[in-house]
Amino acid sequence: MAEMGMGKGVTAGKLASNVQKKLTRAQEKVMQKLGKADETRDVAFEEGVINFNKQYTEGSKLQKDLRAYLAAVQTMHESSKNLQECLSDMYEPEWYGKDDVDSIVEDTDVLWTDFHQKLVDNALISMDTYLGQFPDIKSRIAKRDRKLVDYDSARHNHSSTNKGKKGKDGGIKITKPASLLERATPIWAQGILSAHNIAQSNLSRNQAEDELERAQKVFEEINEDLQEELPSLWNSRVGFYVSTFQSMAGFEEKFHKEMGKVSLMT
Amino acid sequence: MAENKMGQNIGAGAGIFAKRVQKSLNRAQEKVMQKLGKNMETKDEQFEQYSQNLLKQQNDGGKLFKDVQAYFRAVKVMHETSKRLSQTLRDVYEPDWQGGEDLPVIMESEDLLWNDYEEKLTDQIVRTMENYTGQFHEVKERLAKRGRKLVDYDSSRHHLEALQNAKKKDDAKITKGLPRPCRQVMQRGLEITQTPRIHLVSLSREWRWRVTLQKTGRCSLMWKT
Repeated sequence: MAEMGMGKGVTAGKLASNVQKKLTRAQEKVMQKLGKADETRDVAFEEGVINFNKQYTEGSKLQKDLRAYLAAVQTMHESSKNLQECLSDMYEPEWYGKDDVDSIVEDTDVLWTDFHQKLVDNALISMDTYLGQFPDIKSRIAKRDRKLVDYDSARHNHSSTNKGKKGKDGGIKITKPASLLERATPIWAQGILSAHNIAQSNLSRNQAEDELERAQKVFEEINEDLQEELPSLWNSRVGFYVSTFQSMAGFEEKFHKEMGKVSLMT
Repeated sequence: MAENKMGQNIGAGAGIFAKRVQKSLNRAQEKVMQKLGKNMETKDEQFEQYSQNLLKQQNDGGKLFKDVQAYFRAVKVMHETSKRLSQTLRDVYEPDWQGGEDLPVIMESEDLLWNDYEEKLTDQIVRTMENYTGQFHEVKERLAKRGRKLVDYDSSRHHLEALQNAKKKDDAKITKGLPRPCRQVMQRGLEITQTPRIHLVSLSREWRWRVTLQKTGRCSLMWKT
């Protein structure tokens, strides 16, 4: 990464690190599925995620239905307007009540526009705002999951390097060529070789430790944030539903009442 | 009566067809003459006015009917979407929340109201409009028929005039002229246009003539009503 040059080198470096991350995660997951490595489980968190998904689904459906309803309101407004204008055109000037007809047409148009506008400004916009917070949290939950896998992987790596310390060899990471090297080394150089091996294993152990620390830190940061946000989001749904739909019911009541009054004017 | 000499079956059919063709030709000819200004058209200002009013009424009615139908469709859609929204709210409503029992009741009464409205619209307005707009077709047909009969009348009138003029010139030479029946036709024609309704069905007798003018050549006049 840092060793490579600028430009293409940096992108290549990033690509390489992403690939590496994916591989490590895949590997860790396989190990977990096979039962060779334990997973960090947080039942409470998982419940929170279930609730989150439920809330998101419900909210999306409500939004869809609300939008369809608003479109229907708009259509009804337009068709009502067309009908009334047609009647108004046909109503000959010398007929009784021409002025009333015209004013009725105007009043109902105003009422419909008002109603639609209120619905859009209140219900629709607050619905959109409410739902707008979900995608971001969803991606953060996914990120948390990934960091969790990283953390577990680092943990296992660390524990295996520590276990390796008790083994016969200097470190489990020493591969075949090194053992060949061991055999090929003259006796006077054996000491140097074993010192090198120990240094290697220490290095890898230190690396594993650093990695563990880092992974843990990253994970805990995101985990704590989400642990606070998810419950509060879940609880907010009640308030949201109440305020939105109560106000909507209020608009409808007012609208229908006013419309009734206009018709009575004739 | 050449037609009577033809056979009953195919002959009769061909006869009817021939009559129709002759009618259309006569009318077309008369109209052309009128357009060219050679013949006078019988004009009835009052009737023209009625005709125009009818057209306007039909157009207005048609447009109104279209708007009513669109409105009715919109009402149905609004009913649907409102119902769906309420249903979703009902699904979202958790069991431990207060007032959950009221929701189904509210939804049902709302549904009833919508259905009632739609029914009233259908019965009182949509059906009424359908019947109203349906009557125009028949009236227009009769109007068109009147137009055709008017053309027939004009056509026969002009023929008659032409004959009478010719008759005045060659009075002596006409031996087989039938002035009286001609005048009868003229009388009949006047009666026709003076009745607002078209009662030409009563004139379904066939009148046929042949008037030959010795000097001016053959001119056959075939009259049918």
